[in-house]
Amino acid sequence: MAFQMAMENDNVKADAFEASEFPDMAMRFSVMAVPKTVINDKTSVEGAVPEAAMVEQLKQAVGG
Amino acid sequence: MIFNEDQRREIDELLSGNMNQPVKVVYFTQDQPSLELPVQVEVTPCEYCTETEEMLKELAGLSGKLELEVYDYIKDKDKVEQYGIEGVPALALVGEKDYGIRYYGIPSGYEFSALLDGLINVSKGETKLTDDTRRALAEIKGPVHLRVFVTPT
Repeated sequence: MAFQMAMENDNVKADAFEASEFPDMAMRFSVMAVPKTVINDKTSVEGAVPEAAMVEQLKQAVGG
Repeated sequence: MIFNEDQRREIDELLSGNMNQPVKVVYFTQDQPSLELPVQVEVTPCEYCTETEEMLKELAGLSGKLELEVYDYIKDKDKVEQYGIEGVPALALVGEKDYGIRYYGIPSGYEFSALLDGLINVSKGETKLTDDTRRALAEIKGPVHLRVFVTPT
């Protein structure tokens, strides 16, 4: 879903990390379970959530 | 060989039936640490780089619409910077434009299906998101960087 969101808006970029291959990155963002989506290195969403809920989180992260 | 005969046929059918425009897979790998490097440069070996490259080469060979470019994470600094790469193995999926899609790690298991989906979406230049989601996304004016942590199970 994140990849598709990046396609829809040029302001959005999306990285997928295979957590076990990037333990430093996973530790930096306190990844305990997957999927976990970190937005702008500050807020995060745990688990697979519906599109609408994810968009809402994105909007909150950019303040509008 | 990473893919067996059946898998090759399935991938070929899926991609040839669904891809529209060519997609460039920009792959970043890393040579194994060399003795020529100054001792103060600490290079973490890339456990899955060789296997990922082999997989991508086979994949690219299955579709005339897939172009594979390979760069080295240590040596090709300009490309690492251009694509904003943070580690290896890494791949960027680039279609009509660079949508900012990166995958870090070896895309195996479920993640391989996600990669194929990604290739098809980028090739078509369109997503499967709902109209409501697309409208809501269009309203986002500030930069958003998503990091999605996954496992290949």
